[in-house]
Amino acid sequence: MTLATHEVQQLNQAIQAAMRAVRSGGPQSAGGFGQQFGGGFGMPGGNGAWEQQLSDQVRERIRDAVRERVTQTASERLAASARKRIHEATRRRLGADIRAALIEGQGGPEGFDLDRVQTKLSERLGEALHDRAVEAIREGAREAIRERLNTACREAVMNSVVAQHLGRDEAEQIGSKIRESLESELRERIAAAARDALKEEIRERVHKAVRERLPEAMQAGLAQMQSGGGDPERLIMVVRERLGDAVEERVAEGIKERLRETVRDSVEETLQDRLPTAVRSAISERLMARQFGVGTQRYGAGGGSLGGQQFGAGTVSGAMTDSLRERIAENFRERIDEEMSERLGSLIKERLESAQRERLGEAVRGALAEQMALGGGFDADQIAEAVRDRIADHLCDTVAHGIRERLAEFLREHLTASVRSAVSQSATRGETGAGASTMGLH
Amino acid sequence: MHPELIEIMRDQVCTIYRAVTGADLPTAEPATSEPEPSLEEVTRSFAELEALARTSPALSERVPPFSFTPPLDVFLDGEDLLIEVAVPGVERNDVTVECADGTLVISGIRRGHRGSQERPYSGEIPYGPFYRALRVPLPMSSEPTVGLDRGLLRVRLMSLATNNQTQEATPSPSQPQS
Repeated sequence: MTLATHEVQQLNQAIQAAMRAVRSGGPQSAGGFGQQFGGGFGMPGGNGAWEQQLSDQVRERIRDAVRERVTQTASERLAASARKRIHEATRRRLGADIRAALIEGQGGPEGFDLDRVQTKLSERLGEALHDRAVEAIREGAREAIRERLNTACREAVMNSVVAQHLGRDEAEQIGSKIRESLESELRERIAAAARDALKEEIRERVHKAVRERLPEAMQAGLAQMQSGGGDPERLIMVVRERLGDAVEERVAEGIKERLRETVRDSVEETLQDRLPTAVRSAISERLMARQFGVGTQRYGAGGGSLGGQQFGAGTVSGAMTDSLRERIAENFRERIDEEMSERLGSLIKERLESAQRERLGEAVRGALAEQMALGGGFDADQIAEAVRDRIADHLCDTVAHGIRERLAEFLREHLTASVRSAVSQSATRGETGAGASTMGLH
Repeated sequence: MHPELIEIMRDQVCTIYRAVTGADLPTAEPATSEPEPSLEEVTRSFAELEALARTSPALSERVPPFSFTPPLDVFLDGEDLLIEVAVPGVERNDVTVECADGTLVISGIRRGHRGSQERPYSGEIPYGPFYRALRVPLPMSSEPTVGLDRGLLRVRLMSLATNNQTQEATPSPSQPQS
């Protein structure tokens, strides 16, 4: 059988058309497969249109998934963490706060003033509960968002055109990168927004609960005290019991309501500000890695006369990354060993001394005055508890704040220096950029 | 060139075009006054297109490899040589087996089965022409017995001794049996 000339000519025309399509990256409004995924997908590189298409689709999918999966769950989990902390704080310090407020309430121009007691108790308790709630949210934010954010990013990328074009492994890595980029930003935004948004809410809720419940609680407490031989601790115990649940309930409810919108706004802001860059850079990074042969991806399995070709030696960028990572870690470790423990040790000592100077005397005086005012004699345990309540939170806050500041300063200073040093060492040894040929990149 | 290879090459070109654009290859334009390319030139263009397509990871994953080398096993079965070649999806009529000058050559075509409505999503199974050549290690008959079963091509080469005995025992069709 001979080949008809027109068949050869038709084949040639088809080849030329396909060649043009491959070189140009394909028409952008094609139907069929392309239409299914929002247009034809051409070659990576060039003007970046292909990469942009991938990024656009992934971004929209992640946006929807994060809104749907992260917002509600995160706010519920954070509200639960905050509630637990509020419960602990209320149980731990309400007695001491009532005791202090009762003493302060006696100092009015006309003797005992219940309004003054209410105000002082609300102020003390509101401030303390706000601090504890914010602390719980900051500590719990990582766990609250990580799992759902990870699932949302992963599934969004796996179900996008990225997985079809780059494969499931690449999609996994891209999802993970995007999650990493979003997570810290979202965590910080939630913590900062919660600090601002909850302050007034908690203060209001505490104030309302105290105003509603304190008079009745005082009456019940006074009756108990009189029947118990005038023991002021019985008064405090009854007031604490009657007030504790109400305060806890109201505050937890307020936190839950306010957190819902706080988390939603933080998610929206993070998606708006961070998502486009996170997606684009994650996809670019993987595409670059593929282009320069990371892993063992093989292109073209054919082995015949017109068979495919193999590209990429396999581990060039991987080896480069590993080497650089090791070097940075080594540099950083050395610096930590030398300075970190010394710096933190001195910081903690300094902060503790300062806090004791500022607050301990006042705390002891207050505790003694409290004992005298309540007429309960000098009970060592109660004095210890009162002193602890007066300074423990302040000590924790001041030390934690100092460590956070010092750590941030240390990381800014030394992490940058470690990376710079490691990169310059690598460059000297020809492991990056210009030295790629020594790693097998030709 | 196998006469039907041109059709299979065109299928591959269509697959590449669809993978890139998501659309079907446009109908061929009418012939121009330019000189017609030779088959050799067209084959070279096809090879260039294939190589170009393989530079794109996205395309490589969606367009199956064109042409391949099927794996084979060789056994000694008594005095015969038995060769098994894995050619799934290949019709017996599309396989050619030749033995000459002590070399066994197995070649053929695995046809694509894609319809015009199908869109390439992932293509790993190679199709198109295949070719294997095997140096026969022992003196064997040059007339192989070939069978194809469940994607496995079985080629049996009888030893020269067995072959001669068989030929002697089998009466020639031209000789009337007694």
